[in-house]
Amino acid sequence: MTRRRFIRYGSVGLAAFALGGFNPLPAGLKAFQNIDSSEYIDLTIREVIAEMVDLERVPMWAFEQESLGPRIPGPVIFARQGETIGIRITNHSRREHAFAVQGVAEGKPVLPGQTLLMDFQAPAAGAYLYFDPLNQPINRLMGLHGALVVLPREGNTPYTDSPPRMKALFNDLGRSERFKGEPWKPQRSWIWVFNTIDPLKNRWVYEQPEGKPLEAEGFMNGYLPRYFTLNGKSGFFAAHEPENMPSGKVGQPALIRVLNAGVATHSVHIHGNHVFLLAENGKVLKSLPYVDTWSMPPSTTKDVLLPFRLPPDIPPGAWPPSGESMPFHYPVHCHTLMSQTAAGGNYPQGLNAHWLLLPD
Amino acid sequence: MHKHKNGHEDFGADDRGFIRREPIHDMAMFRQFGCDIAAISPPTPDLLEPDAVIALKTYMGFDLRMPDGKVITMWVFHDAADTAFMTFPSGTIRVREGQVVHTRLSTMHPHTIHHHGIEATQMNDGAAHTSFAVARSYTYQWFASQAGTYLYHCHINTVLHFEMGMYGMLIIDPPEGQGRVYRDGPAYDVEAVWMGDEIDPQWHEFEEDAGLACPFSRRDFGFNRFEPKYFLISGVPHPLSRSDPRTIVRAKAGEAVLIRTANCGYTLQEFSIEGLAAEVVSVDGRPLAGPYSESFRIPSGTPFELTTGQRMDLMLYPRTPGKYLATIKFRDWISRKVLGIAETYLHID
Repeated sequence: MTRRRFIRYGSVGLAAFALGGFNPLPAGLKAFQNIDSSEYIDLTIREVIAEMVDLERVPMWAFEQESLGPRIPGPVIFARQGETIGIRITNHSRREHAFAVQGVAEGKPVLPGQTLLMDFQAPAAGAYLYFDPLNQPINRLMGLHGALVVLPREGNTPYTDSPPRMKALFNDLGRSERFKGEPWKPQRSWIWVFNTIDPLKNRWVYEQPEGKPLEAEGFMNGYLPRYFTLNGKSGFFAAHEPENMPSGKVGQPALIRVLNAGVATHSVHIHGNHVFLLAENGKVLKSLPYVDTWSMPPSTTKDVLLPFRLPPDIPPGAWPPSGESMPFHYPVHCHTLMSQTAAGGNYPQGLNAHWLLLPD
Repeated sequence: MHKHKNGHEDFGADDRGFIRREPIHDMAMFRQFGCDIAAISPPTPDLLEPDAVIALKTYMGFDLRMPDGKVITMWVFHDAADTAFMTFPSGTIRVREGQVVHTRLSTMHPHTIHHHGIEATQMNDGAAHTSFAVARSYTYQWFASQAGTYLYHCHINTVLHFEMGMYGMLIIDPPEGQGRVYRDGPAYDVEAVWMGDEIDPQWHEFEEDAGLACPFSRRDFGFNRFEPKYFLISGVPHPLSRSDPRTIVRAKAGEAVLIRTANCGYTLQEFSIEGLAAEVVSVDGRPLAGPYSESFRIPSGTPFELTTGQRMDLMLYPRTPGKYLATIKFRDWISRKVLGIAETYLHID
C-alpha cells in the first residue's frame, strides 16, 4: 500500500461557505457550511486528478475544504458587503500559489507546505471571481478559481447601490402587469462558473520540473481546449445537475450569476425567456438590456435576471398547454459551438445548462 | 510519470485527490441528450389556425463558390414551394407582430428548426436534445410577440449544422408592417441585413451525425478547432462583399437607414462603420426603450462587437453624400487574433 491516498467522492456539486450564516442560503446549494464571521475560511490547495465528461483523466489543482473535499470550482464564498473575510490558505502541493479576488485583494504567494492568513473587506454587493493569480492564466485554468458572492445589507435588489432602472425592475417584479407573480427573493439565485480545459497543456504543467517557473506564453501557444465545464461538469451532467438548473413557475424570477474562469469568450444563449443584464464585474448597469444572448469574456462576471415570464411566443390560444406536458426544459448554452463539444466531437457534451419552467 | 497499479496514470505526487465524473444513471436519457436522438414526425400539440405559414425543406448539397474558385458544400433550408431558388444563408422568414405562425419543416434527414430568440413551448423550441429530431415533417407553432430581429437555425448536432449553413434571418415587423423597427419605434426608409459568418472548409466534409456515438465518440473530429479561411457578410464572401447588392447599402442623404446586424459564425465579430454614427435601438429583438433600458450611440468609426447569435439593430441618419466603408473583423474566440475581415460599403447620394 503506497502513501498515495486516492480520495473518491461522489457527484461534486458546488460547495459553499456562508460567512456570518445565511438562512436560507442564497442559491439552493446542497453542500454548505455556515461559518462565524470571525472564523477563517480554510482553503487547502491540492493536486488532483479530474475525470472529464468522457472519463479522460487530467491533472488539475483544486481548493479543498476538509469536510467537503477537493472541488473545481472551489467553494462559493457568501458574505455581506463590508464584512471582513478571512482566508487561511494551506499549500499541500509542490508549487507556489496565491489567492486573489479580481480588483479587491491579492495575497502573498504561499510556498509548498506553508500556510498564509489573509483578510480583506467584502466589496460592494455583486459576484467576483477568486483565483490563483500566479502565472496568469495557468493556475486559474488548472482549477484554482471560484465565486465570491457579496450580498447587500438591505434593499430588494442584489446590489448595494441600485440605479433608477434597476430599482424600477426589482420593484416591478411581482408587482406589475408585465411581471405578474412574485418579487425576486435572494434564495432564487444560481451560480455558474465556466472553465476551459486543454488536457495536453495540463499535463505539460504537471511535467514541468518543480523549480522551473511556468511560462504563460508557452502554455497559451497552441492552447486548444477539449473540454468545457459549467461548475466543473459538462454536457448531460452539467445540464441535469439540479444545482445548475434555475427552476420555478411563471412569475418566480431568478438571478443567475455567471463567472468565466476560462480563456474563451463565450456567447451564452438562453431559450424560453430573455434575461435582463444587470451587472458586469461587480458594476451595476444603468441601462438593463433584455437579451437572449450575452458575451462572457475571460475573467468576467455578469449577473442576469431570468424573469420566469410566461414564454411570450406561446400563442395565447395554446396556453395552458393540454397537448404537451410540463415542466418545460429550456437549454442555456454557449453559441460559439466549439464549446459544446468534448474531445473534438460529442455534441452537446460541453458548456450546457437547462432551466425548468414548472406548471402552475 | 508513474503508472498506478490499476493501469491509469496517477501523476506522481503523494496525497492526491480524485474528482470523478458521476456515472450515467439513465442511459436512455443520456442517449436522447445527444448521441442518439429519436427522429419522429409528431403532430403539433395544441394546434391553432395560423395567420402565417412558412413551409421549408432542407437541401444538403448547395454549392457555394469562393473568390479563389473553391466550391464549398453548404446545407440550407429553402422554400418548400420553390426547389429551384435556394440561397445561402437560407431565406429570411418575415412575419408581423401579433400573428400565430406555423413553420412547417419537411426533410429527408433528421433536422430541426430553432427560432432563435423566439420563446415557445418545449415541443416548438426546436432544440433536439430537449425535444426531438424531425424525421420527415413537423409544424412548429409560435406567436410573433415582439417586432425585432431574430434568427432561425437547425439545432441538432448544431456545432456542425450551423457551420454548414442551416440558418437564416427571422424578422418580425410591427403590426402595421414594414417601416418601423418596432411598434411606435424608429422609422426607416432603407433596410440592410449584415450577417457575419466564416467558413472552415475542413468542416464541410462530414455526415450530419459526425461526432456522435454512444456513449462517446472516440474519434477526434476537430469540432473544437475552428480555423476559418473565408469571411462573409450575408452569404457573400469578401472581397465580393464590397460590391454585392446583398451587402452594400444604397440610400439618399437625409434618409433613415436600418441595419440589422447578426453574428452567425464562430468568431468574435467586430463591426465598424467609417464616417457614420449609429444609434443602437434594439438588441436581440427587444427595443432599447421603456422603463429598463435605453438606446445608445456608436460614434463613427468606433468598433462594436457581436458574439455568436447576438443581433443589434442600428439606425443611421447619413447627411453627407459619400461612400462609407463598413468592416467586420473576425477575431479568434481565445487569442482574439484577427483571422480575417469582410468589407462592404454604404453609398449615400
